[in-house]
Amino acid sequence: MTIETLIQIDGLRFGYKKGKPLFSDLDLHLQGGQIYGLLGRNGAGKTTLLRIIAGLLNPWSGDVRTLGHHAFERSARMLEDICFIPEEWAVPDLDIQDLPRIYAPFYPKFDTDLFWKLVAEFDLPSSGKLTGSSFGQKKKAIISFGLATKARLLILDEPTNGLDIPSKSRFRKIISSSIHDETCMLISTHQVRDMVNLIDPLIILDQGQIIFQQDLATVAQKLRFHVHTGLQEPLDAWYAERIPGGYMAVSENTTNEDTDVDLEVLFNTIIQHPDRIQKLFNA
Amino acid sequence: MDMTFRTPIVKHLVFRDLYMNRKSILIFFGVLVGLLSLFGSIAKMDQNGPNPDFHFMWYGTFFFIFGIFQTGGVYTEFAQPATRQDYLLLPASHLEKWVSRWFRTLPLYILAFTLIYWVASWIMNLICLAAFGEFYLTFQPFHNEIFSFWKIFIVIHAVFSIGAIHYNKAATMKTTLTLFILLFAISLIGGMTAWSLFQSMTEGGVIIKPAFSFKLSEHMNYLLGITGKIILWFGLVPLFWWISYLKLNEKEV
Repeated sequence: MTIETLIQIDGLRFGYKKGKPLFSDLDLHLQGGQIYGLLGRNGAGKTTLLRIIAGLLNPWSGDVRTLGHHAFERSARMLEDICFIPEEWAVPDLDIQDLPRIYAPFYPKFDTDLFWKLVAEFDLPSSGKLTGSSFGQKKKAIISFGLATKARLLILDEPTNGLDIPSKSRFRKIISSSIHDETCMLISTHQVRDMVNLIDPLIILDQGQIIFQQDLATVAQKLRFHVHTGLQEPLDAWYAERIPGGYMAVSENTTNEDTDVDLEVLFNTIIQHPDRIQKLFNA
Repeated sequence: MDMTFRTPIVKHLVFRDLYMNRKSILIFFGVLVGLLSLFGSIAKMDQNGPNPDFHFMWYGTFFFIFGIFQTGGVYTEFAQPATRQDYLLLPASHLEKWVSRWFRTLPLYILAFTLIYWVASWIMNLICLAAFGEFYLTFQPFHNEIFSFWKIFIVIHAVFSIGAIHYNKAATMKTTLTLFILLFAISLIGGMTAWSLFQSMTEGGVIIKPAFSFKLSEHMNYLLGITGKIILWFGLVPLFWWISYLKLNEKEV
């Protein structure tokens, strides 16, 4: 079975002000069966990119195809298969019981049983106004609804913001069990520690370009993440971060050592040494 | 352009709108009944007997005011980026979304308003019966005057539909203001053009009199009236609706 390209962006140019492009000639191809993590500094354009993919913003030029459709056309067929959970969203003045009744008819694959199962898994009350719930509860209700739509493309912008610690681990469990070959998830986050063992491959957006797009197995093959004890930074380290008792360091994996990828340290290494990283991964 | 049109989805969009705005609809009904009862009671206290134009006057007033605010504010979601995003991502084509809002603000509004006004007029009459021992005046919905209001409202609806999509916030007020500015600008340009064209012809007190034996002005008025109506009903109204539909297609967060 061939894995379909669900998002195809070629030569994207976009900006909010004339003459000041946020993205110039950006290319991105995402395939099914993956949970992509989209990382970047504040203002790098992560949310903008997600909005362009969902068809909410019109690119200046370039081709943006989401699930095979021109994204900005926002065709009904495309929207049925997309679930976009933004960082800030408007909760309708509805009871949680009304949510599937009012919104499910728009999603042909909506699974009501799954919705109530997820509501129970997230420890949400099965009745009561959404507007009166806490931020975290609202978020869990929206995530439950989003997953129950069985959309092929799930776009999540800062999904763990506002979730308590048990909910974060439940979120990881639910998300990892929801992925299959025909679906794709794109998660934009700053909370990389919440996404450990979940997002793979990793996409890093910086200065209007995708500066890094690799799966974590390749990262572990090329880079070595190790704790260095001592007061001095390790000499071979590309990047080192002070931790109690020493340094968390990243260096080139010349010894084929198998180490666990630390996403936060990896992100900082890439941002500090983009050219060096590009050279290593393109070699 | 996605021209998908599914009647069940349009029906569900209308149902969703009505369900989510159920409180506003009830408030609207209450306000209408309250105001009409108040005005009916005041009129009933008048010794000169019932005013035959009472219902035409108040039906017209409420119909246009509520209608303009309803049409201008039909895309309230656009006021906030989060709600705008939710609406634009709702899995329905732009055509389905546009038709559902068109249906809600035009045919459904006309029918529902007339029905609600009719009910409100009966409540008003019952209040008058309880207070004064007799009805004030019953409302006749099937009347030429009422049909004229509907026809005028179709034109107003077409104009305010564009404003409702174009402006994200305070669409009704902004559209009204834009209309005033546009009309003022057109009058000014028209006046200045006419003045510059005919200025020389009226110099020295010359008055131009048409040398036709038949009543030209009446014929012209008639012809201009017919042409104007044709342009308005079959040209401008559909054009304005089409523009509002295109604007919905191009809407961004």
